[in-house]
Amino acid sequence: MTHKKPQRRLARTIRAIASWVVALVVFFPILWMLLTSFKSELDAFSMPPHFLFKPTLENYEQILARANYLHYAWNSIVTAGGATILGMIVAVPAAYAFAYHPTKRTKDVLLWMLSTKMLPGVGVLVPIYLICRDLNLLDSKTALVVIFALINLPIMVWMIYTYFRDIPYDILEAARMDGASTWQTMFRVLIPVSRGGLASTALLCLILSWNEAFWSLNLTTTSAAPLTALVASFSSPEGLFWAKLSAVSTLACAPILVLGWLSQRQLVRGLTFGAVK
Amino acid sequence: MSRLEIRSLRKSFEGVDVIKGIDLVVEDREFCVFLGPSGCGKSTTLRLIAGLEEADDGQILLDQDDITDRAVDKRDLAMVFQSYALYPHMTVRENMSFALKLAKMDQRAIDEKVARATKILALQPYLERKPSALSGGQRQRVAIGRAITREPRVFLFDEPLSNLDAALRAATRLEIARLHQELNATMIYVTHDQVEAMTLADRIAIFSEGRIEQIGKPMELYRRPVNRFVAGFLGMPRMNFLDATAEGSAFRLRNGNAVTVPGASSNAGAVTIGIRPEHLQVCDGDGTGETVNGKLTVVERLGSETYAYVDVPQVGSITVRADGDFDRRAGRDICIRLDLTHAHLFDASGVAIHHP
Repeated sequence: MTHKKPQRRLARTIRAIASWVVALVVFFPILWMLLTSFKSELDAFSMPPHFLFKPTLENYEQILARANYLHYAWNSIVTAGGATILGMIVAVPAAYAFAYHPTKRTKDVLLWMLSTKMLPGVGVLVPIYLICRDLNLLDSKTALVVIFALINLPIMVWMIYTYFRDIPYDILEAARMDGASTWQTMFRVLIPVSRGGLASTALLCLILSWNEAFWSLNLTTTSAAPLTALVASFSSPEGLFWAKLSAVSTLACAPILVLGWLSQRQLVRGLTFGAVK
Repeated sequence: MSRLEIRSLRKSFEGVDVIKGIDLVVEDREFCVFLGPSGCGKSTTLRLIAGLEEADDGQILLDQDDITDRAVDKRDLAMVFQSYALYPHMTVRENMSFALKLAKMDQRAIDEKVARATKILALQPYLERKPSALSGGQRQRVAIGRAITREPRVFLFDEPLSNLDAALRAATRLEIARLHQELNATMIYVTHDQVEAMTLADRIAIFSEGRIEQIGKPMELYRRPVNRFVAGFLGMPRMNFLDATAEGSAFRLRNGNAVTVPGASSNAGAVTIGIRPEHLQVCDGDGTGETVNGKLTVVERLGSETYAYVDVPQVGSITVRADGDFDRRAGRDICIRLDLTHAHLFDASGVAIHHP
């Protein structure tokens, strides 16, 4: 047995190194963005790029002077948070019905829901733009909340459906025998039991909504524009001001990155939960 | 009072008839066991009583009150599931008081009822634990406790011991028997284990293919089965069935031996003689009385008794219950004496035509 030990240790070291390399590759753009945001525009442009430079906060100062960061951040919080809440309100009962009261067509409906994710968003841009215009919802947070919720709904329903399928139906029947109504069964048994999965679904919806740019750019101008629109506003009209663009991107990513970091354990567990039964 | 009556109950799933018309009365305070092989409809019948499935036809009456279409939570029944079905996010105490809280009972009454169930089931040390921190046996006790606190009109048990190991199963079986005496409540218990059925039941209903084959006291079913199915299902090892043809006052077995069954009429043509393993003896080749010869194939030693499986040419395999000190080895020729005063006779359709 002992002669195998060094071999095993070597394998473990190789695996660790490989993991670090992959992690670094994935993380590198974010790191680069962060570094660039503290460079002067001159350093940011230089070729070959500088890893060592004199850090400055000048980009952040200029951005905060030029645009009302808090206004955009607030819009992001409201639209992403609102979409998550709205999405959960619709997705939980839908998943409940799919999981526990399936019909012959349930699988088809689930697949159809997912297939809508395959349609490029731009395909429905004009109709949705016209609907929003007619309903007076252009540049409104309401429109973004509804649209973010809708585009995330299929994946939310699927995820929650998978968690619910993992919960033994006996437990829900036991609750019914104990005298619980459908709503009581849902709120006092099903939701508490699957809260881990529901939390990761909500978190994923929050992240996706926070990072959504296509609809934000096309349906808002200023009053409802979230952080993604702020980032975009720094790219085109001003040419290539890399340092400022990086600074504003950092400011846009930071809140959700911190939230993701804090809840990563939950998120990873949630994402793999259904897959490793 | 909790008398349950079922009239012509029917249920089908996707065009397949699962329950094909069941009539049954479970008297007040009776312990009734539904026994049968898997897929025979016993669990479905229980779920129909509970209201977890909707009946297609027929009636379920609780104390003359029609509950067939009543919602699950309005029936005042409690069920113990095979999988325990405890709420994993609640402690033992919360599990047992959940139903009472939903019923908006005041806290003092809840505490009293939980305390009583806790005492009956010796769950005191586990009250603040979550189900995940309990063993299988403890979980099942909590599931029973959850039913007890409800003080339901009828207790329903759906194979509650199936997930327990053999020793724990025997212990919990005793506990359920004790519980029935202590609570003096009407109980319906579904199982495929005949030992559970025989030991627990006041009456057993034997199910087969969506119908009740026979209802009666355990020994009544054992001694006077109405058909071949019931005769073969009750008894370990199962009853031996020997095909025969009636010839005057005798019955001729497939191997040519003619035997007589005391007290049996013999105008039936093709019949099956049913004889339990305890009514067969290994003889020493002297051939007196009704005997058959065969080869000993397998010997199962259980300590206090031994099961000998004998292959009799043209007749088939016959099981003999012998003493614990039975010393013959497999592979030898052996002679079996049939004590036909204990034989049952079944006609060609399997209906019993003679009992000892």
